[in-house]
Amino acid sequence: MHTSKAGRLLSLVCGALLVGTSTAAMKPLNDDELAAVSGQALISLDALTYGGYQYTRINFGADLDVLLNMDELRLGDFDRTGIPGLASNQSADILINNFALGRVRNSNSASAIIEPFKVQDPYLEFAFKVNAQGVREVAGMRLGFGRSMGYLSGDILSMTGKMQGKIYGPASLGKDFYMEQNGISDLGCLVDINCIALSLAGDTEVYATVELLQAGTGNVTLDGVPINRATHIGVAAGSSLQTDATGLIAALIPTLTKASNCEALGLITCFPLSNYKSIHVGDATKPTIEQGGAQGVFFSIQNQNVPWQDLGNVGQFVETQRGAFANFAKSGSGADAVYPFMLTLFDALRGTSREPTCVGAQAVGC
Amino acid sequence: MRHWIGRGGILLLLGLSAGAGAMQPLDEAELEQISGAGIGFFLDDFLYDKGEGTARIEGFKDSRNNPVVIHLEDAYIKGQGSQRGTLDTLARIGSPLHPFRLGIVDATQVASLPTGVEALQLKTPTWTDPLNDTRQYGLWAYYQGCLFGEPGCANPDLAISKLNTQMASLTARQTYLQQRYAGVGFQTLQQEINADMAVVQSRQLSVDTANDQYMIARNTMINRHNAARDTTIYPKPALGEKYWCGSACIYADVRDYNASVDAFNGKSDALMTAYLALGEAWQVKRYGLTLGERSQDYNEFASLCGVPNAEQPTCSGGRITKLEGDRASLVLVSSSLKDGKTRVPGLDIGFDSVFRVPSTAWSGSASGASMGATTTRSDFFSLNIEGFTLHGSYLNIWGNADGLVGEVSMQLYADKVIAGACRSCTDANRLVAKNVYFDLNLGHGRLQPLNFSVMADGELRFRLPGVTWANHQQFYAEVPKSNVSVGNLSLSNVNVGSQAIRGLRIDYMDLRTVNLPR
Repeated sequence: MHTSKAGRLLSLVCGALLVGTSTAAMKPLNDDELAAVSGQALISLDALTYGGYQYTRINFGADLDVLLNMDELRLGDFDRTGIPGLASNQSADILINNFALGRVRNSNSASAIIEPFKVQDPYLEFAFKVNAQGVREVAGMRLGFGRSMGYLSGDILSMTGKMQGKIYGPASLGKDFYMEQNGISDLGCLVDINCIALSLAGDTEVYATVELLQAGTGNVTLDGVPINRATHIGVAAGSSLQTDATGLIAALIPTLTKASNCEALGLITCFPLSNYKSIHVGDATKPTIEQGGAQGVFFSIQNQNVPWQDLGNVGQFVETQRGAFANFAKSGSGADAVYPFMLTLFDALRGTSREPTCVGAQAVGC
Repeated sequence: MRHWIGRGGILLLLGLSAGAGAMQPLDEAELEQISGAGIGFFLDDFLYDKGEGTARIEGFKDSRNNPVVIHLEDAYIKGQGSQRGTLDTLARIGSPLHPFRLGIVDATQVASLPTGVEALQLKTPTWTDPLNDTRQYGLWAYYQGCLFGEPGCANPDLAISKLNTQMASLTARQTYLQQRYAGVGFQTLQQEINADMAVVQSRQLSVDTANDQYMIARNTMINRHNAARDTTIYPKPALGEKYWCGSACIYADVRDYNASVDAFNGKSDALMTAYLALGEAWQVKRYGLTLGERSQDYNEFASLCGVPNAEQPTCSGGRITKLEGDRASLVLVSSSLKDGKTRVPGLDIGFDSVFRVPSTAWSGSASGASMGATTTRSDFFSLNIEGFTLHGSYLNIWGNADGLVGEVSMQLYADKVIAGACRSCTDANRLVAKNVYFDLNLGHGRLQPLNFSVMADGELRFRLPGVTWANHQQFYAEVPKSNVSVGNLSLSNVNVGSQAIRGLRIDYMDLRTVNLPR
């Protein structure tokens, strides 16, 4: 019978549609109910102007939980010869191998559990600028997240943008690391000025903001502009460990630990980005994305120094530069600052191992 | 004046081979023989031009709930070469030999489907030659970067040269790693790493525990410091320093605080000890290399060549093997182009739009800008897509206990995508993306069916079940990855290069729409 498949095809279509709508019983609204509709929408548009730029942002209302693995993320792959700020010989502004969002706990066992990366309200935004001839030009675009939270992993070979983390921990960790790196014994520590200073700091909690910098120098700018294609992160040249504690030693810490040429008190203060296999975006101590989600995370690409509105800090704009740019900047300031990622001093000194992102024995590349 | 012209065809698919090129009516006897392979259709010599007519899209809001109305102008769908719709070039989607197909498929035809399931399949016209197989052409176009045929882009082997450069850097790392562990063997390397990692994992647990206790002690100390008195006799010391009276203080709040400092220092020491023990575990050396170095090397080799299956393995998977496969595709495409072959023409699609949107003025420094007045701004936005094809895409849907489920593969390619914000200007003022390729694969019938549902509050939900311990080997072998690439992107005549997401697989997803503003 030649109609059987056509009949089944029709029933499949109808069945699929019925199944698809069966979880919500649809009823017509009366006039009163219609009048009460608030006019919300899945997509909203926003616009603003700043610094001679016009912006149009398309917001998508969504909650997304995801675990993903990617072989390679390569953005802004072009010749930068002659363009200021080049900090390495990498071929792209952003180059991450084995990129992943989310992690798998107990990955190599039957009790493997996916811990997804959470995203709230992603958006797409365009920047426009009227040129000298009065023509409105496209200047850039960005993809951002209203909030995001979870583990981000990868072999970061090149990064352009803002990546601000906080390292913290008792200064004594630095002393032990220093002694180990320099082969200094307990006795030797008594005659080493750096070791003595670190010993005096004791368990005083110290912290520092780490950011993208040039290997070897710790510079965060080159040729008068922020560096691009960074391969290292750490305590910038001229910056130092800070402490909220008071007292003589606490007062000395910022002075003693001022970083220069990627060293402070003999400690290394610049670390290869590839050492940081996994970072936690957002505040890991908070239980929900509403409480602990990092705001202001975005990836952008622009043809000039477009200042994008910082959605994590009201009244601030993130200065970018030509090419691809990733923003993992802190939000808030002082004691209220929330960093996109936080590392113990120990992790900062040694690097962080990769959180499993695959189920099974394969650590990466799944 | 809007107009739509065209002709189409519908085929009853008998086997889709001989005779499909010439359409003839079937008689009753022939109809009886139809096996019911589905419906095929194509659109031939058509165009759509909205002309001066306009359309409105309503329902959008800004974040303050003000309505935003979008007016569409000059929308068109025409054949490739229409010069952004200014010429009435006729378009064709599919052909009698390469039609869209709508039919029922099962596991015997589509291996990814569960046994016993009959799915409704919509499949776009499909070619297998290198130039019209979107996967091969899209891949070549990414490496090529420039749009073939444009000035300065006449050599189709440019793509192969770029791939070879990447391959050289990967194989150099492979050789380095193989030489580094030549005297050890990669399977032995893995066994030793596993043995050393057991110690790391155990000590990491100790660190986690010590860290928890450290944080509790620290919070206790902070709370007691806040609660402790600050008087002339008992001046409050800095956090972490103790009152002068030590453990012999009269007042309980002072005593408690001093005790909490001691407790904190104890936990701090314990944390440091745990950290050092963990650090020592990572520093365990074999043949002069720390565990961290060995582990990183092993993972890098696995990423380059697949999980080692011998002491001295060759590349059996990983990025190098994949790149070798990619090179084969690039050679096929390049050879076809050098033979003078061409692609099936795609579509030109475009529209202009205008909309008025409330715009807030900001001014001042980037670190301290202030918000000014909100006025209504008139925006113009245009989008043009040249040479658009979707060959080789498919959608399979069916129903099960979870509702509507399916799997989809979108193979979208366009020579150019042009977005503009100016009505009277050139591409020197617009975003121009060349060689744009989306290879999007969502869902796998057996291992990860894409589930679509409507929640009780009317919101939409898309789910991809997560990879599991039970299915992970099959999952990683069979669930397809996705790729997105742009050969070259320029913004108002400023080159910002190629962009790529390579080898993306979504291992788990739960996406719920939410009404805005929240």
